[in-house]
Amino acid sequence: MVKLYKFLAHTTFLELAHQLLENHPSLKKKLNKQIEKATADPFNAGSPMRRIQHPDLQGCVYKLWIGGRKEARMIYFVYRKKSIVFGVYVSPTVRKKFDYDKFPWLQNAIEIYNDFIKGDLSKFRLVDPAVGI
Amino acid sequence: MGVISKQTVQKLFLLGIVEKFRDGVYGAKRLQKLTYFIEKDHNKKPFTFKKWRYGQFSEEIETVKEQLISMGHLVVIPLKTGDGNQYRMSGKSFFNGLNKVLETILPGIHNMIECVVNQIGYLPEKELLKFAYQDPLLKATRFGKDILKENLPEEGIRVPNLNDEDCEEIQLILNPEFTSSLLLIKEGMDNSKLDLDKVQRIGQII
Repeated sequence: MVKLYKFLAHTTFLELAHQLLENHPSLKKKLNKQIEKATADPFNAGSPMRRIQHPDLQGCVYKLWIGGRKEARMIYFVYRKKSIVFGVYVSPTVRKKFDYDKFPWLQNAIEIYNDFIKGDLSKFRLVDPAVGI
Repeated sequence: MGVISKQTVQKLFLLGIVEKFRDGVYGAKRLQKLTYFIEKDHNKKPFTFKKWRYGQFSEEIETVKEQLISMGHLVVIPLKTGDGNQYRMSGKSFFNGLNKVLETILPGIHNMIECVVNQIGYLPEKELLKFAYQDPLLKATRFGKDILKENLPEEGIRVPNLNDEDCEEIQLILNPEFTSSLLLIKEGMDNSKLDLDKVQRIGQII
């Protein structure tokens, strides 16, 4: 049976997406299109990060360009158990102007972790194209 | 042409040394001394070394080593003697291709690693320390002072034969915060109390 995935976004991801579109409004359509693609076919839409060594993460982390190579970057996590594509990160500006080493990965992850544990509904959104704009 | 940060070069350098050992490096002191003697003769120096209790010592090596362990790139096996650890690559296939990257960033480094590993890499610890203490640079330096100073450019190093995308992936997988954050998110999902049916649905992300 084909598994249907849902795209889950935390407010940290929504804020990054908001910043990206503030910086580059022309990427709006492309961002939404890539999220749709990642949800419809998570294992083929993006390229897997093959060099990740941790066994719990292998085959789960994918990266995707928004607006073609060298533009913005999205990273998502595929959580098979609950058929979720989780938006981990979207670069707030085009890739070449961005430094990954300075991004607060852990600070964001702690916030996400706490909200998952609390089950805080206000911090998450499910992207469902069927809902309409 | 991509750019690799100096923190990433430090990790690649340590992995490049550990990779040359058949069954891992025996002891943290050994890793320190080997890194020192390899770096000493190279014009690009990824680590600062100072004169410390057992001679040449780099605090950054200890940090980078711990980061590589936490990311799953290095495995620690306690030595049977009960005195120290053995450090092994968790999977050598991971380093395939990265060897070339390291060589481009630090030209000639593979020969230098091989030479030093063959010369002192398998010496018993006492002999290794005796060799290290004879180093004229160490002798000429006062306790606590720098012997070698790291000199990689702050803005990172350009890698001519690697595209931006490859550099990006190497940067990310060797960024300890990146791996830890993904593990934390996964743990959050594993133990989540979030009722997906009640999460607000939106038609577009923004």
